[in-house]
Amino acid sequence: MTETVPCLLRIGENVKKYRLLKLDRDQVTIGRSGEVTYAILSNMISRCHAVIDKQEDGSWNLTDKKSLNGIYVNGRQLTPFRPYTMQEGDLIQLGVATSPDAQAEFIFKFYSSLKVRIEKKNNKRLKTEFSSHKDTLSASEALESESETEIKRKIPKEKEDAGDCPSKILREQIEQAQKEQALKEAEYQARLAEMEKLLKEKEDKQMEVQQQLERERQEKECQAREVEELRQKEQAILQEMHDKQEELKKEREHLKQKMQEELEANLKDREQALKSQLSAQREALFNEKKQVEENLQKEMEKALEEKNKELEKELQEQKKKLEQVIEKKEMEQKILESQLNETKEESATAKMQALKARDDVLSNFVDLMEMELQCTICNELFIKATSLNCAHVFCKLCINQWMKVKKECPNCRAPITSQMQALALDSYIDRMVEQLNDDLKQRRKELLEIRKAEQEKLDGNRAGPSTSVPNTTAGPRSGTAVLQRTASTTTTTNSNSSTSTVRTSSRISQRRARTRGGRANPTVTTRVSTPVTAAVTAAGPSASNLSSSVASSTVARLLPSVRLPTAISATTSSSARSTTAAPVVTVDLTGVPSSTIPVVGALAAGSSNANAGNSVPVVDLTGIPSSTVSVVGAFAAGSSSTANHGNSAPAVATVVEVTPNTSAIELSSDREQTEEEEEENSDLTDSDDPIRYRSRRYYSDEEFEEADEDDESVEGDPSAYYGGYGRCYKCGMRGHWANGCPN
Amino acid sequence: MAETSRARTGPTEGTGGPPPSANKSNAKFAKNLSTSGRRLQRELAEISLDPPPNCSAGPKGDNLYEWSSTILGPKSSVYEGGVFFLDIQFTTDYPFKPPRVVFRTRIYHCNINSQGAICLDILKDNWSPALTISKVLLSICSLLTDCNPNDPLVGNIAQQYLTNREEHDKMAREWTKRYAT
Repeated sequence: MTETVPCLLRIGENVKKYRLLKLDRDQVTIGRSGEVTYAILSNMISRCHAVIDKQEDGSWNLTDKKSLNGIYVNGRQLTPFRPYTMQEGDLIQLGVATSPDAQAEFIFKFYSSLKVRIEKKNNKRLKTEFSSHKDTLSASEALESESETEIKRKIPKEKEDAGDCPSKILREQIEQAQKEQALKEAEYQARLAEMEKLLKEKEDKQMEVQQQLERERQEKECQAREVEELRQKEQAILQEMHDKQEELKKEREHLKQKMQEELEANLKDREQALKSQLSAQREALFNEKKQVEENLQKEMEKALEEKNKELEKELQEQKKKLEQVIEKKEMEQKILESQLNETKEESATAKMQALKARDDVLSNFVDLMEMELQCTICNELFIKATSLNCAHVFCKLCINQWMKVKKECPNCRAPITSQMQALALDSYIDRMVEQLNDDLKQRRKELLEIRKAEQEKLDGNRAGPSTSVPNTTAGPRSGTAVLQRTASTTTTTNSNSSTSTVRTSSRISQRRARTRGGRANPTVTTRVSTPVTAAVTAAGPSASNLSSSVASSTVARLLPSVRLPTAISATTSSSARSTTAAPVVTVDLTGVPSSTIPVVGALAAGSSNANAGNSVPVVDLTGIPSSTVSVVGAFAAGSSSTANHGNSAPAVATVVEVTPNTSAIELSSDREQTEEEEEENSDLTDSDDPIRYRSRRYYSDEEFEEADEDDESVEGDPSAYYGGYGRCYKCGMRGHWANGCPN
Repeated sequence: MAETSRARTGPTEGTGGPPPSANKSNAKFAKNLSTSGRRLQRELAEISLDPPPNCSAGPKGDNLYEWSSTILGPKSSVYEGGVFFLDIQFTTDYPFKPPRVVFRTRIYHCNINSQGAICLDILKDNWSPALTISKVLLSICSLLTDCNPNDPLVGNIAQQYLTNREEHDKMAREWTKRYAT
């Protein structure tokens, strides 16, 4: 019997064992251990060397089970646990060659199908085409089993040999062993017989199985016939099916066409219906829309109309309100305008009132000034206001004129003992008049001119008639000399205490006057120390004329002499020397021709009272070629209250002392003043207060005057003028300081 | 009586008043305004603005130095109801010399004589330049109310005033009525 099975056929020289490995199961394992399918007893082979699995498609996979020496397919080693699908004729080498020269021990060739002769079951050997090999194989097996038994027998023999020493025991044991061996042989024989019996039984059974197989074969053939019949039927059925399918296809196509047609028709119908519906709906919608729009428009119109109406109403209301407001505003405006007019008028009136008030004030002021600062004699504002001892004030000219008439105050009738010019009043009036209206100013100016003219006229009245007197060659020099002489006489003759006191007082007043009016405008001070006697009053008018007849021109000539005290002293001394016997007093008698006799009488009286014995009242006309009559000696009292020296003449200080006995005209010369100043200064220097002294010095009039004189003396020379003060420290020039000095 | 007064005016005009030279000077000073003229102008202004009671005064013509004045008889006096004319003459020395004031209307008064001369100290010795014509007129008014029989100008009248006041008053009223109304 042969069969075709896939197998591995061992190739190589002298190959006897493991010639064929049949792959008759799903899984075949090859290894050294007894658990594998094919056990190959070789050191080269691992216990489980390789696994061959049958795949579903009929191929075989070879897998290396991580063997020590590996598996080589066609000379290439397989990686462990990776199955390799074997191909027809693959050379599979298990393990490696022991020496490089020799070939590997186990090389198999894979055949997917190989015809193999199957041995009978009782032989339990597969009979391939190479039957000889098979015989040898089975013989070897038998040899092996025989050798085994021989080995088993030898072992006890060796053991019996080893135990010869104790012979008895060994003999006994050998005997026993022989006995046992005999027993065992008997048993084996029995078993052989039994085995033979069993073989026979098995052969019977095999026969039976063969028979059964044949029967099965026949059955199978029958079945094959039936299968063919069935196949034929199937083909017929298939043809039928084909036909039916074609028919069905045709039908389907037909139906499809029909259906499509129907569907198209239906669709068209539906479309049309839908279109019509749509158009209808559209129209309906349009209508609705129109309606809605109309409604809306109507509503809108209504609402608009209402709103318009409301707005119009509101507008009208607002208009009314506005009109009211406007009316109110207009009313207010009218009221305001009227108020404004009123206020304007008021303001105008107020302005007018203010102006009026101002005018009133001004006029009041003018009136007041005219009331209060008016000379009661001339009813004008004071001109050279002069206050009397009773404190009443008059113009100087007015009061002098009045004093020619009466020596009492026009206001209070108090006897006039002294008069003092009030400069403050004058200046005040001048200033005020300048401030006030032009009329007053003009008038004041005119008045001043007139006064001046009148004064001149008055003086001229006195001087004028004097020319009628013989010896008309009037020399100013002589006049001055005469007056100076008079001064000298007074100084010499009046050695009593009363005159000295008067002198000092006059000097003080003079100083005051200087400080006020400046050097160029000193005042005249008249002091009447004693009441006038009855004789004087009786002789009043004529005497006054006499006294007033001292010409201003002559007095004016005295000015330089006053300024230069040294000159005065010289002249006085000389004059005193020349006319020691006859001190000269100039008295102008020409003014009043009728008064010559009283004057002479007075002179006579004076001569009797005169201290100087040598002074004889002689009218000296020889020495003085002027028209004035010079009276020698101290001239008599009473008549000579000459208060009117130099009304306009500057710088004449006169002290008139009227004593019952003597009157003297004294020109307080600057020499005397300087002497007294020196005394004062010495006093001051002696005093302990230098600051006060300095201040006094600074403000003292004499100092001031001296400084003024210095000014004049060095006028035009800046260096002398300014001294060292205010000059450059470097070059000494003025106009710059040392830090800005160009030199 | 008017005749007599008129008759009296003649000589007064002739004798009284400033000398012609003074007049000339016045005329010359009319614009230049001398002291007296100026003062008189002021007084005129003052008296016309604020005249004293019962009095009035002003220049007769262009001449500023010749004034005429009227005095009303003071009330509650014997001269009540009478209007007395006065002549006032200023000199160029005015106000240093008193003005000459004369009654031109006859009056029964112990200090005023038949020529109209007034016995008043301020018009003579006691004149003061501070006095003005209005003050003088006021003084005359007061003199009318209260005469001064101790310093009489007409002794008979003074005597009568002192002895027979009633008779004096009667006479005075009679004269006032006769000459001054």
